[in-house]
Amino acid sequence: MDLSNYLISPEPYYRPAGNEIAHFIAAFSARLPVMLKGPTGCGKTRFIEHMAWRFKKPLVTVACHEDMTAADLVGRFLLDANGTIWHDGPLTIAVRHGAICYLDEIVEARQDTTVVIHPLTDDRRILPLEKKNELVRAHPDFRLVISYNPGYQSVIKDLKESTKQRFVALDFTYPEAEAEAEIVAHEAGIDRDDAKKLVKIAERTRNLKGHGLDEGVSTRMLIHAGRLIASSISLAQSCQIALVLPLTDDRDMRKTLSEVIAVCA
Amino acid sequence: MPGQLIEGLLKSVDYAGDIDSRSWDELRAAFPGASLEKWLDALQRIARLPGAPLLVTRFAKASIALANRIGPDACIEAAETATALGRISGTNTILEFLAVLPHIAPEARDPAAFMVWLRTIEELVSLAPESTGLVIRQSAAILARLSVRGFRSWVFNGVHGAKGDAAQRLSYFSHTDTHSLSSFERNEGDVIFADVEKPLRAFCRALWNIQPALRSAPVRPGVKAFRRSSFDGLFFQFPEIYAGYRGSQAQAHFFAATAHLAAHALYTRRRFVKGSLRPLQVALVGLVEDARVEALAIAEYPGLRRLWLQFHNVQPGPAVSSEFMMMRLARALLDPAYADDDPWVKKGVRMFFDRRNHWSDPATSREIGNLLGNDLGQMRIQFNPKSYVVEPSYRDDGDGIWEVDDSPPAQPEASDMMLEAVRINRSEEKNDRSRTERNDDAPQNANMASRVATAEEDSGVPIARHPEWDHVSGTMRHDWTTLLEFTPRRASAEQIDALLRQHEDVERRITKLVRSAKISRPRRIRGQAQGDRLDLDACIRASIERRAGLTPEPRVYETSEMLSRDLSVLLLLDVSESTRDRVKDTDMTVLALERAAASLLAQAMHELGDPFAIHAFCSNGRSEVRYYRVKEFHEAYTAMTRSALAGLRGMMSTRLGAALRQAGDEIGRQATHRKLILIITDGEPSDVDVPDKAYLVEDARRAVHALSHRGIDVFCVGLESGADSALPRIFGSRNFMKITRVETLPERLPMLYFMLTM
Repeated sequence: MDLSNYLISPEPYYRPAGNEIAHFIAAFSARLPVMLKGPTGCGKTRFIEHMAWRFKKPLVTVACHEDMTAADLVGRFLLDANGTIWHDGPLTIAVRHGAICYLDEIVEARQDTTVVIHPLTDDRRILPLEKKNELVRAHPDFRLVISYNPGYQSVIKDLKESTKQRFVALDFTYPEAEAEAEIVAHEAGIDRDDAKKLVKIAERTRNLKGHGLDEGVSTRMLIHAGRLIASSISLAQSCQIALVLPLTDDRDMRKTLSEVIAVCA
Repeated sequence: MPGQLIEGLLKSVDYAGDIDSRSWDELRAAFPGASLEKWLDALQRIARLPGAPLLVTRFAKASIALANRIGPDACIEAAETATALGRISGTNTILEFLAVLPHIAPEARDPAAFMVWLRTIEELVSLAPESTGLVIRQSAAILARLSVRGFRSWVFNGVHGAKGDAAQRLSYFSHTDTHSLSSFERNEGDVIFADVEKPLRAFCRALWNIQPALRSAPVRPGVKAFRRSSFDGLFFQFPEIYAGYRGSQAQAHFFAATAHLAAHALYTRRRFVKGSLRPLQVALVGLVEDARVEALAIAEYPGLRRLWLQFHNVQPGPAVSSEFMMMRLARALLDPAYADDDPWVKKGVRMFFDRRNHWSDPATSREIGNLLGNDLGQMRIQFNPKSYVVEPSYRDDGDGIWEVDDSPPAQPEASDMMLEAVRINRSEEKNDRSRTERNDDAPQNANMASRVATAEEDSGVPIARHPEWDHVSGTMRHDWTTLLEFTPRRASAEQIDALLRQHEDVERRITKLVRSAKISRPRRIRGQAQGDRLDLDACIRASIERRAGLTPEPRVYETSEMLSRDLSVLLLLDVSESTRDRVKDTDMTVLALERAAASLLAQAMHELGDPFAIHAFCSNGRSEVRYYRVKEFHEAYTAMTRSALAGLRGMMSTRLGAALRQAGDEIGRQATHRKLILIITDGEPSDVDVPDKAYLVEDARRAVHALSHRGIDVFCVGLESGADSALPRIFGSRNFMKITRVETLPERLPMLYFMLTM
């Protein structure tokens, strides 16, 4: 099967914040499953795209959701004119043909769904297709990467202990101020000074995490704000529509954020 | 015939015959249709109160006036309040309450306002029972002058201003001075401190990552109101309202004041010593210090200059007074665009900016202020320290930067009050700490209310006898334990509220969970004979079967169904002596955490709409197992519940089995499908008359078994119990959770509840 559609090009921009690239390369060579942890919008997905590009491997991404079943991952029988026909799911495609399978926001899927990845994540590296009575041995190039936002973690949504313990984890946070400003300036195409102001605002909102906000402003949001600035909307207004309004519906919190932005700018 | 129906209903209500027939006619007219039935229910509740015959007739009379003015629902609500009053206060208070209802009705003007008045009275009776009658009597007169919101802030100003001192509250409510009343009224566009408190707190946390204690200064009868903010370290106090500012400008004013205080907290690290400084010099050192901390804050956040400058609007002119000169200097130091030709102002600006590199040193302010004060003094312009008020108004009163024990301050009255307020606050904190160490029973807050309650409370009412299991002989001892019901005393829920404030984050997370649970997500039901859509998997299975020559399964549809909750919960709290122990590394008792956890959980259950009750127990031998009903299944969760929770005291022992059996009987009467007893205990069962450690353990185990036979789930949360705890043996290891870090209880308990019930 041709997976060339899944190849990433051109190079996705990624600015390393620490040693994550070296760590990922090591885990990748040892065929270890990797878990990317970190708040939303801090660059997890961008990182894996960048790494797929580096290794020149196809990347199969599955956005996990609550109603996802194991069949949505491994595949199912479908009907055609002549009878039933098996259709590989995204996971099976990656396993058979040697791609990186990236399960985004894995905690969103139900716990009983995620256990299908267990036999793939230890040294067996197999995927039993029980309905089809087939045992798929993983292609040597197959890798499994999941992402996971600890902020969502609650009693209802958490990984099973037995799932967690199969992965090596890379911890992602928002980059240092300098680095973050560089990223925002590059991605949004604005000058360094504006980018620095945006980062300063974001850092202050992150102080409010758990005190009125569930998450502070993410790098992704800053890039959105930056792009608005690049289309010549004022900084204050860009922040209002790209940061404050999406982040919270609470009137008091909006008031606070607006004041914080006014004071930082 | 509706008439006959009413006759029938009448027979079921005691004392209904005392109401004369003319009143009945009026009542029938005032309560059309089904509302009469509701009203009769309410009447029945009133009839159960002590002093009933008189109450019933009074209530009927009040109802007619009330229903005609405000509507039938208001009467039902008023009956609720009357029963709430009955629980805490005497018959006299209820009579007074019923007597003023007809007079309140015209003043309240609309149902919503009337409800606010009722809620205020309910909250007041739990916070200040001694003053409730007084407030009720004055209500109509006050409502004639104030809106109901003004009334509410008048009441709570009195309650909070007295800091738990009943005598002070009584004096506040009995010396109502009509002039001070207007300060509680709010006009359109007025912004009071409470409106912006939350944003201000978040503002400090976001920008400087500090968590100051924000308060508003209480208004007191006969004392001039505060006009400026004040601070003592991270204790920030604001005037209730800044006169002259409205709408968004008033909000900005609060933000400006907060930013100024935060700048002091960050950059005025040590207090200045007054030494031989004259009042004018003191004022000027304060002014320069204000400018210095603002300059430092602006270096980090340039936008602050804009925030502050909008309140500096002085213009140059002839030097008429020191105050005027100082306002100009203040503006010149902050505003680079401001031009002032006065030599004194120019000198001040030059000195200030020449020492730019020394701004980080507070001594700079003293040096400059000293010199400028000298110069201004020599200009012979008058300065009156008594009437001097710091300008512009967002700045603090200037006392926070001075060492207190020095020469008498420039403005004795106001500063004394500030210091007093701060001191009260400090000693209160000290109390908090000592209170947590096993002297919980000492009258808290010197609260007369709770002392009165103690006296009333000391005898319980026997409500049941329960058997107990003797594991040695293997027999059931019938009617072995006696349950006595005690009314929980009420106390101010401030401590709980403070704890809840610490757990604001948890509260928000719970609200979120509640929301996702309540919107009752649709659940997909597959393999149905009928349904909205084809179930793809079932279809494929059916086709395969058909082709394989088997009879295909006809159920190939799927449908969605809303998950519904059918569950009642009884939260059983262990309030034995050991819960008064302090939790390691904190200044909180186990009981205080139990209380906070219970109220967080109660909030979650309340929002979910699950029927729940909160009961508590302790024991003193088999003949005295004390049982407290903090909240019953049918009661609403209100401020009263929290004040009853706050009134729980740790004492005596833990006879778990008896309490569990009682709790089982209580929840057994609920009609829900699932029934859950959630018990929080800090140790193993024990009692003074039982030397055999295993005896009560085995008995409790037996009780749990009996409950599970009746379809009642029991789950235990054990606090800080050792590794060899007997609790897993009693409840089974699956129905037991150990919490070793007790301070996480308020957070863990609601989460656990969601885990158990979803």
